[in-house]
Amino acid sequence: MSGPLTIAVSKGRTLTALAKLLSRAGVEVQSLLADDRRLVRQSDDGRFAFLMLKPDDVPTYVEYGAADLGVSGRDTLLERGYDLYQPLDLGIGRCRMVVAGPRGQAAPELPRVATKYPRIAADHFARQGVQAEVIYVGGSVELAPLVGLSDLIVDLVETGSTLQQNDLEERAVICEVTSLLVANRAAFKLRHAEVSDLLARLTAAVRA
Amino acid sequence: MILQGAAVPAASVARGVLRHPLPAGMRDRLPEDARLEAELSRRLLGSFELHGYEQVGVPAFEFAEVLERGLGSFAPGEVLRFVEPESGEVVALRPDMTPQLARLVATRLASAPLPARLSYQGSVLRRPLERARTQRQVLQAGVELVGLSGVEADLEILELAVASVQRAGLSYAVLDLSHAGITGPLLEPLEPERRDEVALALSLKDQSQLEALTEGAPLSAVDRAALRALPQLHGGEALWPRAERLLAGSSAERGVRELHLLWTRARALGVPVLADLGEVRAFRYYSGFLFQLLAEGPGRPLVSGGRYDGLLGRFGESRPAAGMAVDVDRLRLALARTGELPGRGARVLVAPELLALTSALRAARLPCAVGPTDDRAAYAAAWRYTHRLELESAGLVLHPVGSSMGRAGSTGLAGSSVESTIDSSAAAAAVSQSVASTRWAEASEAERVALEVRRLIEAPVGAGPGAEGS
Repeated sequence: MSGPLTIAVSKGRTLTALAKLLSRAGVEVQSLLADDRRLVRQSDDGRFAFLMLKPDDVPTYVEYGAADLGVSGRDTLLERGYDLYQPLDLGIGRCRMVVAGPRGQAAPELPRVATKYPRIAADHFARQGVQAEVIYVGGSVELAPLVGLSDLIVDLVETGSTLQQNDLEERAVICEVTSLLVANRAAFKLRHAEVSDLLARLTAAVRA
Repeated sequence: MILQGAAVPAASVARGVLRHPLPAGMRDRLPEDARLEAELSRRLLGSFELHGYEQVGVPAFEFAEVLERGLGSFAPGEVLRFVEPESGEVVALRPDMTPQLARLVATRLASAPLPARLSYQGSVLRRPLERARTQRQVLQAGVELVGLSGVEADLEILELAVASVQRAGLSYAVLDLSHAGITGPLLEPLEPERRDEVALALSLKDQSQLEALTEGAPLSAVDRAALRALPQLHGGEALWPRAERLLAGSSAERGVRELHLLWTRARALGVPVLADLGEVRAFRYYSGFLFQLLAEGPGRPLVSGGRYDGLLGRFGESRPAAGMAVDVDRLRLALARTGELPGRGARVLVAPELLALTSALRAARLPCAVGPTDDRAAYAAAWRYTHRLELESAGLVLHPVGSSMGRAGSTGLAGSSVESTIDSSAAAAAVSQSVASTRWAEASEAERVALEVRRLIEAPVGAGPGAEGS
């Protein structure tokens, strides 16, 4: 097959860590780190093309085959359930999905839960046998319990400082979240040699 | 949603495009798409027929209990069900035709000699999972080979899959093989809920999740190691020594052996062949080999299939069976990517005064229809006619459609793309006469004109009369 291998990545906090891994795996990353507004960037050797996307869009581009590979958080993958391969945990962007609530205040039996991740939240409470009312909010989730929108929140926590500053405490960890390498199912097979080679190099880079 | 009147283009309101929306995942097919769909189906079924498969038809919906018997209890959310008013029973729109074919063979054809070679074509309906990301209505053309087992029967299905997409025009595809006898026995000891989770992690090749889920699971050490190795066991030639070493002594050993044999034989099919030992499939009736055929374009497999020896038994007649289905829409996307879509034949728009010629044109196998009284050039282009037949002062003139830019001075172009005056003033005179008398007196004359039109459409310019054998 011809053309560069297309990798969808998200602009933002994990990009530097990802570039480091890719670089160790032998991928030219200067164009990836360039401070400009190009949305498609070729590596200098022409072997790779990077698509610069919003985090939530990465798996969509990969699932449809608009990108061969991508790097996406497990939170996004779990929330939406995509039809793709996710063969390698890159170990970057590490954080955890937690249930949190106002400090020292027990949640009622039928709690209201504000979250950006309604499916992950609903699945978690269903497994606990709790009938929770899940309310979708787009951001600043920590605000919801402070103003009485909800009793609990489900959100991503890295250090916990945002929770502390808003007088919230962690009640349970739902899962650990890291960034994963994802691959389009057809591209994984059609460009098997290239994809396997990169996968092996990245695996070695992650373990190093 | 509030739309400002001024912001909406008047034309889109007038055409009413948004006024009658379709349910998510459903769509119409306009002529070009519908033509391609029909043509590709025709070629696929033609290929199946050449291999001795006879076409059967099965209903669009059946009692849910019957479909479930074949599919296992599929996720209730994935199937469209309703209560049939006549019987009060729950029926389901078929999400897959293989269980229907299994029912058909196990009941209506139970006493027929084996093997049975059957083909089918039709739409299956699925609820789009999560988002409207896939079409609900999927056109498939497929085959079932019932009553044969073993590597020869498996190869017959693989060969037919490759041959049928090749006949449809596709020049390159990759064959990916796997085997239910690898993942199946390894997952078997797990309790059902955990088994589903592990199967999902396997289908995603989610190595880290797989390791977490198999920690402390009731598996022998060798089976646990085998299960964890599966996401990395894919590839070509170099795969086998590694696979045989990593899965040695595990309950997947027999499946690996069978797959290796099939992989070795399948290399004679003339396409690149990969194997993927960790593949699991949504429909869980598979018992032996599984395969997919892939090509650039759709981002998904074009063809999938495999062996399901236990399926007919669920309908009361235990028989080995294997089969496959081509997703016609994905095949179209793959052909579009490589520029190998079937071309369209000629379509002639005939001036109203030449109405009397239409029967003769049709007899000469030229699709034609009579055009409107004015602006036929624009009409012909809008409705994808390839040629216009007009009566002008010079006589009968055949205009190619949609080549206005290249028309001037285009002497070297192929016959179908340059204007041609039909080389017979006598024919033109005859046509004029017949228009005057509204009665075609000499059928033989119309026939001669029609053949001349066909020759002009088919023959390259400069080939001269007689170059076309017919």
